[in-house]
Amino acid sequence: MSNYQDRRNFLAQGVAATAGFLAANTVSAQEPAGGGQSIDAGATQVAREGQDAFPRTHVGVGGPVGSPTDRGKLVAGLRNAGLPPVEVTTPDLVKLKGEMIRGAREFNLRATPARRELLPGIWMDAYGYNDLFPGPVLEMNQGERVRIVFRNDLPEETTLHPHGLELPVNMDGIPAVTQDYVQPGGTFVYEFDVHQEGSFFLHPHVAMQEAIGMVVPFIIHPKVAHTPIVDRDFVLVTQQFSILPNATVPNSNAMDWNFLTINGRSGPYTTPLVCKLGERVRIRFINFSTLHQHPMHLHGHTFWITGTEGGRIPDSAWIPSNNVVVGVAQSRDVEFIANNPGDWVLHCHMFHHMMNHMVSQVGPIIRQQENDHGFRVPGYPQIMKGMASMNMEGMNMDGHRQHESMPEMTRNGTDDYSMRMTMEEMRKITSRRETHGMREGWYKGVHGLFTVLRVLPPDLFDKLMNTNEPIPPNSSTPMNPHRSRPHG
Amino acid sequence: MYRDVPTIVLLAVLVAAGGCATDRLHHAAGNRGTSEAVATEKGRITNNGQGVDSDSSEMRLASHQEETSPPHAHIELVPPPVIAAESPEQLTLDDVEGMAMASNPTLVQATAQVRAARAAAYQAGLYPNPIVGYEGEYDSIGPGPDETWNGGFIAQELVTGGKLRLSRAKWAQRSRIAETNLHAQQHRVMNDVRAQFYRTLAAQQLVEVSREFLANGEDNLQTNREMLNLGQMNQSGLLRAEVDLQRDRLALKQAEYELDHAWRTLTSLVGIPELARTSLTGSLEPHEAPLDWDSALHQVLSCSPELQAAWQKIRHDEITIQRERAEPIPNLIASVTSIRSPVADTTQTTFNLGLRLPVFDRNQGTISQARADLMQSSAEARRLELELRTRLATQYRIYQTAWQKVQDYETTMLPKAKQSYDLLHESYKNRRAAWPDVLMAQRLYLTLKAEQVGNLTMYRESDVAIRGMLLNGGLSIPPGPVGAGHIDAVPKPR
Repeated sequence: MSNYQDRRNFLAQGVAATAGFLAANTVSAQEPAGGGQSIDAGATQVAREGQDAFPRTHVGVGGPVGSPTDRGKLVAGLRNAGLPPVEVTTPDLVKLKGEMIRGAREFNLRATPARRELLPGIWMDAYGYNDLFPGPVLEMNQGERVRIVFRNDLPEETTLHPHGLELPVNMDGIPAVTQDYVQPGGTFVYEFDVHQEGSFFLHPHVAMQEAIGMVVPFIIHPKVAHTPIVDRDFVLVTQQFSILPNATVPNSNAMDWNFLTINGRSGPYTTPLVCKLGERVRIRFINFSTLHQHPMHLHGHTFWITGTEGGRIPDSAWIPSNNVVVGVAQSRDVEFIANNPGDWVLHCHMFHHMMNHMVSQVGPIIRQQENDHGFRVPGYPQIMKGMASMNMEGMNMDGHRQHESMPEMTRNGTDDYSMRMTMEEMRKITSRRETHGMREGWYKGVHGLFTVLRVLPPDLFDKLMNTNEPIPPNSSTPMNPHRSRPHG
Repeated sequence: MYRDVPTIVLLAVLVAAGGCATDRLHHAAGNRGTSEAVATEKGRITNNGQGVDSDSSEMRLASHQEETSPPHAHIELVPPPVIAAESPEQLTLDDVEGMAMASNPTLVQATAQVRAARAAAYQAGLYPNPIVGYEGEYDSIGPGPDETWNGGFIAQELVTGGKLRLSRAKWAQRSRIAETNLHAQQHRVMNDVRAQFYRTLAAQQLVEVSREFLANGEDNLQTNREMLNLGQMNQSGLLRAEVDLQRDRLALKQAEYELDHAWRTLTSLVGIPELARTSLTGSLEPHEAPLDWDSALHQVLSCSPELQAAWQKIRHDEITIQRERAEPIPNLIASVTSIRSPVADTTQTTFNLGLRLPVFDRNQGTISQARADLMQSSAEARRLELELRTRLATQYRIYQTAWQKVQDYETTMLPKAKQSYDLLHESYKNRRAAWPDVLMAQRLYLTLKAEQVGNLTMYRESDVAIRGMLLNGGLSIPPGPVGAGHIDAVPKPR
């Protein structure tokens, strides 16, 4: 049973108190925790004092340009003020909070080989930490002393570099320059005071080890939560890899790529970000790709760029956008009021990053239709043939099989070259609770560096995330907008 | 009457002896005719030294009084029958072997040589015929009445020194060599037919592989057209794909021509060039345990018909020396003459017995020549043994190489190439591999398949050669029992 299920069951059993959650060392749920606050569902329709110019439950421009409510710029979330910062939510990643030992927040990190299922059935053998890839995410607070007991369980030497942190030079983790390599089986303790806040990350300072994906998001919360306060704080790490067919090891020497990941998964295997209508949401983008920037584009909303890898940006310098370019080894924080209900895609707008395993489709795949007049048109076909014909009628949206055998997914129903996915692979995609209630066949439009932000009405959110009740398809985004309207 | 008794007795003995021998030979002739036909019709190689019939053991002791092959006046050597141009839908190796044994003319030639040698052996052991004649004498003595004597004589050369026995033994040995040569020729024919059968089978398979190459090339051209439409290829690349396709078409044509050639050669070796074209069924893959050098060498040196013929030739030349040594022993020439005078009412019988004195010609030159022939035969056997070792070494090297290739291709390379192709094909279906890469992987697999057909052909050719004791030349004139330069005897072999 997943952490999501654990938590959902926990809530479903009526245990309201979540005290002690902070003490947990490893969490991975999307329900943020940050001081035992309660969210008043009724407040979603209530404009806060001085902020009523910005619509919280439907789209609108808010106050005049430059005003605090301009496009929701300084409109607070639904949490009460004065609470500690909300914990980060890390879809598909393990999060560590460490343990206070001898006056320092202590983490144990081991550099290890790691396997990751990028897409159902497609595995990658890479290097990572604590047998994970990527991550784990380390979370701490500004002003704390941090101690990372680092052990090298790789068959080759490495180091750990706290990227962007202002620390003693002997803690910077640069081979030869600031320290010796940590040999296989060796240990090195990194310990320093953290006076910064923001979205940082750790990585080895060995180029090819970076290229094979070794990265640890290092999130430092401010001593006092930034205002306007956010209700949810997501961490998304983007990466790119070159993996040949019938191979599992990424070619770290390649300067081309064919797999793009968010938190170690490619769409549609990326787990959607789920939030409640009206919440203020922060998304921290960390780009640890080898070569490329990622213009991260959110549909249906305008966000403000509020932070970089250097920390918080003064609100006077925030920039409104729906597309933030995150360069290599940069981080960008964006914030917005999730006031537009529905399932909104969030993706890199580099066209080649919106597909999986990047391969020419010439050959039998595009010859499935006899006398295809399309070939008279230069440039035809550009759409990935066979994808549109995926027929998943044999599958429930929760991934349960309706029939013993699932028909081949093909335009004509019989073709070896139609797009195929096994029952188990399809189950992996559609059985995740975060996907329930989405539009039927949503996965056909989510590829590569691509995920979905689900802005759900409170009742649907609670039903989805805090119960085990079935959610019928098309609950958050209707199949036919002329017949029904989404919640809210 | 006293003078008549010896003559009658001698004639009676000669006639009786000749008639017994004739009856027995006639009886054997009937048997041999039957067994010879069976040996040919069965279409299989006979046991070594038993090429024509089964009475060679009797031939070994042949003398002028023992059985040997008579001339087969009643069996005609006819050209091989022309089989109707129909053939079954598929021919097996057994089918073509049977056809070859029944129809290859060199086997008829080799069989004829056996018969000729037997006939010569038969002839060589025949006793000289007696001479009979009229004897007349006219006496005119003084004043008395003239007196006329009339009568007859009979003369017989009495062969001494075992000349006839030795002559027959010598020529019987030649017939044994001819039998061995027939056996060798059967091997030559079978080896050539088998090797050609496998070549033809391989040519058939290469046509199929070439068709797969062509399909690959056609798909490649179509793929390049699609790539051109998507900007992933330019005109230059498309032209190269067209050239490659034409190359595949030519390769298929060449493979078809090779098959035509292989079929025509096969039907000629079989002896039925009119045989309608059909497909062969069989397997190129080895089913036998691999040969090792020691056993292959042992087999060749102990069973090679060529070598056996050489050894038989030595024995032949030894007998020849004995025969030539016997030649100076003078035969006795006996005659009886009986005349009668009615005037004197008197019968006069005269007995004569004579011989040729070996005073000047003791056949010493021919004996010396025969010894030289023996020396040559002995050296020839040794030379042939060494040559066979050399030929075997060459064939065995080819065999080893071919066997290794066949095994490696079969167990490692082909499965891996197939797996590589299948994996890429599957990856393509999963949108992870590009179709041109699939086609390239398929082409590699097809290339290995074609190479494996070549490996198997090489393996089969060398395997057939070694197991067939390195004999080939299924359409060459079979060699005679003895080479040129040997003592021969015409008209009376000796």
